[in-house]
Amino acid sequence: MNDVIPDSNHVSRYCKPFMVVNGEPQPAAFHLREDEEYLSVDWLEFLEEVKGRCDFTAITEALADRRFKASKRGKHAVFNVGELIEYVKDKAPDNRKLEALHVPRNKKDPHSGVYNFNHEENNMFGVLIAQAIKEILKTQ
Amino acid sequence: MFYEDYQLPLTLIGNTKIIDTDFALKSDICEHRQSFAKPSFIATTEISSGSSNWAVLESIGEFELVDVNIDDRRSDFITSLSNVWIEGDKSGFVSYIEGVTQAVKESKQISVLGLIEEIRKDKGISYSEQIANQLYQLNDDVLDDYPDNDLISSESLIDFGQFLKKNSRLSLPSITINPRGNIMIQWEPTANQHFSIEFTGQGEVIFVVFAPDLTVPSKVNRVSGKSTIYSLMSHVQSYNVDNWISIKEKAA
Repeated sequence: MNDVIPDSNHVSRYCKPFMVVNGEPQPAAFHLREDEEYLSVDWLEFLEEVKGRCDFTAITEALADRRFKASKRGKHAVFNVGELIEYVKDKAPDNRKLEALHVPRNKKDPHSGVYNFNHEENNMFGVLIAQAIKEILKTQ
Repeated sequence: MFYEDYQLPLTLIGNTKIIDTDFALKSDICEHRQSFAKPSFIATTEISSGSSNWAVLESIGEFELVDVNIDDRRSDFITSLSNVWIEGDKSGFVSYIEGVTQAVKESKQISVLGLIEEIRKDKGISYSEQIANQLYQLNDDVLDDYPDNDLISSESLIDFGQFLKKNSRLSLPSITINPRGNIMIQWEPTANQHFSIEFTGQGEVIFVVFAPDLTVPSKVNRVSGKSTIYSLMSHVQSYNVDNWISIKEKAA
């Protein structure tokens, strides 16, 4: 059973440079691929617990630990979990409630997922998630 | 010219037949790429998949690989080409599969760059220079992440160009590439005014509109749907989208 990330906590999503315009992540950065069940994010409070910090370098390192290289021109989009869920629920045509769950690959892995939409709903949820960004961090 | 800049030499052996070039060019290639150079011969392998065909242009002692597939389903074709060649036990071809696949990828990249240049040169497209520059940057960014050149859908790019041409009064949108390799454009002057389009190929689009209700402006309509590059703008007319994404006329 995956841990539910508390509403007061935060997650970050790495956004590739071709999904960022003028430094701002665009809806394409929050689209699922057809084989994905959830949007991959990192749980920042968990990251702080295991690494002692959760700044942009710690997030980029966490990605590297999973053999994922964050580009210098990419961005980390940070969300407050409760605000993200509430914003999407309020604006989505069907009042959809997203869920944020911890999906670690090992004991120290902050990897998590935002659940409850599928790739056929990418366009609407991509816009709503992009509008709920709380903070944008550089990667390096 | 398009071909002269990008030579992709490949020696093709085995089951290949030469057909008349002019007919193929007029009926297939010219429909999308009117400035195509005319070769003197075109050779088409007998291996094909549905509407996909692979063609090669004869060059001196070699063949130059060129995509003439009007439907542009190249990734499907790569799979089917490999499968056919392996399953058919055509040993003469098998050793070329890797090289051909690489050439297909290179050819696809050439196609993307060629299409961007077509947008740049098109006088019927507003902001064609800025849009082409943005697309170049996006393509460079994609290549950093996908060195095998396999992400951007040229079919999506063709539809994007046609949409721009058909709607020449649009202000400059933000442009991105989504994980499917499709071109996405969007305007978002305020959080309550959003219009985005994903060009999914074959003339189809997925759109999202957020727009204040015309009768109760404090309420926001939020809709998503599918349409075509031909009728999308009339489809979203009732949301008054035109009003905030069109180029503003200067006051007299």
